[in-house]
Amino acid sequence: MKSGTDDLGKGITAPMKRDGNTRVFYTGDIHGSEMIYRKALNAGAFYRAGVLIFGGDLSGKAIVILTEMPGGKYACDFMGRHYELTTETEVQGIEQLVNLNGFYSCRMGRDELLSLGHDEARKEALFRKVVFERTARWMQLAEDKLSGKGIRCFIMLGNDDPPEIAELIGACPVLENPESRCVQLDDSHEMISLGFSNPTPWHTARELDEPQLAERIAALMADVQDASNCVFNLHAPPYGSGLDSAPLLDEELKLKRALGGAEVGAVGSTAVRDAIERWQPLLGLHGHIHESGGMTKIGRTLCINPGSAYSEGFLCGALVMLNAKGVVTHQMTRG
Amino acid sequence: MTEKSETFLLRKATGLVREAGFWDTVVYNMLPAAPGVVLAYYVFWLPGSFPGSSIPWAMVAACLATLFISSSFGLVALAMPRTAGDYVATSRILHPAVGLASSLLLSFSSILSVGYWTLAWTTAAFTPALSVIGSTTGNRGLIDLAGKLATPPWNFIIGVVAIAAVSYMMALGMRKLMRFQNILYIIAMVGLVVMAVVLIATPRETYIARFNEFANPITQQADTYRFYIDEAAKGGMVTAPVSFSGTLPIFAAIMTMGMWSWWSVAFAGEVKGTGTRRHWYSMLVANVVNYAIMIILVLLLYRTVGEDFIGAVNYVSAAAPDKYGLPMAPMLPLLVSIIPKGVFIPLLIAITFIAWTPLVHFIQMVQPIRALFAWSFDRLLPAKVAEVDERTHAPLVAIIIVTVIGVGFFAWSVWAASFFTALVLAGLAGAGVMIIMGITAIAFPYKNRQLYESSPAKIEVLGVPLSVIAGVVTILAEVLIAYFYVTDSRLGLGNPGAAVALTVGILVVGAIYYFIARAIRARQGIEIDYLFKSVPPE
Repeated sequence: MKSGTDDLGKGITAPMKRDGNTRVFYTGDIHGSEMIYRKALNAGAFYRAGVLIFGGDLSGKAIVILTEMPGGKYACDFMGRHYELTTETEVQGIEQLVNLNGFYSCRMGRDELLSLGHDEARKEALFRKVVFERTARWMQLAEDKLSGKGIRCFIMLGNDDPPEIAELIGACPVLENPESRCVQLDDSHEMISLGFSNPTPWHTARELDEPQLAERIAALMADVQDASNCVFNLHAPPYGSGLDSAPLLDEELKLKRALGGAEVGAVGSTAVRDAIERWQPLLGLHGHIHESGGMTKIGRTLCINPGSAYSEGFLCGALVMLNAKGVVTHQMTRG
Repeated sequence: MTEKSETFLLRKATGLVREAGFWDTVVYNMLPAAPGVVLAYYVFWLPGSFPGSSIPWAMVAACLATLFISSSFGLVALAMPRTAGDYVATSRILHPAVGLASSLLLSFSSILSVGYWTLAWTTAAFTPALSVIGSTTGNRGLIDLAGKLATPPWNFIIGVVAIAAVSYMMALGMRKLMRFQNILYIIAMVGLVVMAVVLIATPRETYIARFNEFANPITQQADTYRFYIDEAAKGGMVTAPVSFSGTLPIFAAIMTMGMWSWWSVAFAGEVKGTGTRRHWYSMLVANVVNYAIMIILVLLLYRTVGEDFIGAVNYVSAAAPDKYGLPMAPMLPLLVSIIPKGVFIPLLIAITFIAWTPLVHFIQMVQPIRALFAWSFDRLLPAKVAEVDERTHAPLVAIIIVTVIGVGFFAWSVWAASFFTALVLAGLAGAGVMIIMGITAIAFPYKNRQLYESSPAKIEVLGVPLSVIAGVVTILAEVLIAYFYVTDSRLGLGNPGAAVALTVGILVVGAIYYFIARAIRARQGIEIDYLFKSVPPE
């Protein structure tokens, strides 16, 4: 068998085992929430898991601008409320609240905000800056929390993550970026990982057409020794699995309406589904579609999408216990 | 490319949409108390049975109380939009055993409603439509057939076919189901609007003339309108001036159907933008719109048909059916469809009213199906229960379970109970759920401080969280309702002691089941507590 971990040179050589089994905690779609990220780092100790897998989409989706007002005050709208902030303590309090909820905060003068107007390049640059800064801080946080704990932590980018932050993960001594390679989870189980998604209506940073996704997965499988004991850590869920039901959108990104809310349909990847049907791995770990958490079987493969409730402060995850024969137990968690 | 809403910049990321369907959710929340259904089946028997009561004032009070009840659910849902519903919210805020017990009780109430709504549909919508068609076309055979089909076992057979049809639609998948729901809703609303227009355009004198024109040949009376009023008085129907004490019990009756405008709590919160209060507002708007429509229609009916007559004809129909004589109960579709001359409008009103009940059916069946799903995902039930069909993605096992139990409750409603007994029993179970949710709403700001502080649910009145105020009013309103259910036999509970024991028993069974499932799963290496315990972020 190949030993993916030996190549890293990070001193992480063996996963922590409990009762002879490997306990894996999987989560994803943290989307910038500081609270969820902190909980995820603590999940190893809390759930007694030796392996943590973060399946993509670390980055948040929005910036809350704190607009500078005369007299050194700031104003902002957040969570349906308007805030007038008069002291630095109040400003920092709101910034902390914004960060905990998965948004980025940014102080800005009114003129600067107006000049930002429709300058899409500047907005994009601003996003890259805040995402990069937060991810860099999170890497330090990971080091502080995981050093010496004997917990292996895999963090992969998702379709919403700027590719540049992969460098930060690669430089962190306690983290492993498993993407686009086969890693050895324990003596019996290998894992392949791919954080790209099939095309979305938002044309996000890391999307591939279905044939390209199929090619990437096939290339990864070339390194796998035993497909039947392999774990697929693929951000996009398999098409039509029930783990990929999402509101359908029209061409203007408006929800297609139906009585009672949005019209829902399957939006997962056909390439991921085909790969699971073809190789029948032991386990499929997926994310991407937050509102479609669940578990299902495709043939012999147990597929799990824990969903995401990052905006509510709940860490949605899946706890899976593996041994040489297969999956011993599995369960959802809402921490 | 990014979007700008002045101080909120969005990046190009999955899941960000421009607009959620506010009015769709409003409509969804209107359906449990769909005006057409409430007015057709469950209002006009009240004056004859509750002297001194005022339906409009009871509706105003029920509307106000339901604003608070909806706020108990809605405010917690603002903080937990993806995971709310009574099950997860109560599990996290109070205790998982309480959450499961509450969810089980709500599922019982929902599936029981499948039974009594089917009974109502067969006896007060489907067969009356045949009667109206028979009456307007002069087809006596059709009228007789309608009378026959409204009794067991025929109404049971028709009802089972109706339940099976609804379940089949659900098994086709949500997309097809929602399209079908849209069509039914439009049909039903057309009937309601036509009815309102007919009432507005008809003065009392014209109504009396038209009613007699329809009824006199059947009752063999010279003035059937006056005959029913006189017979009700002779038969002992008591009348009294409107009073607070006379109206209070029918507040409970109105609430039985009208306290559910938070129904989207577990379904509509799956798409969250930037923390707005739209979902909660949709509940409040649905409640106000529902009651506004109902109050306007009641006042129109009083103006055109006459309050005394409505009370009397319902009283005679129930107390002296031999003197009543008409081929169908004096419900809203009959009272209005006899006004216009010709065949078209009476047919339209009768047929469009058939569309209301399946709409209610759908949403009542969705709740327990979702609950079965949630319990299965949480490993409290076998995984098989949450299996979905590969092609339609419909949860077939859960649909079958709910359908079978629903047919069982329907059979019970047909042979062993009555529409009102089943309805009030479901209301009593609902009151239990809402009392628990009231406690949850009160505890929420204190037990989940950080979540409360960072959510749009943080609204305070004189320093008191609104969710606490809503929770207190919810508990008071539901305790009052439960009191009247249990103490006032006119509301329909023949054996209140057994009803209370059943309600409490379901709660106890739910709680005990949780601990048993937890112990069994623990032996299998699965820790159910992980679903409800927060990982410390520090």
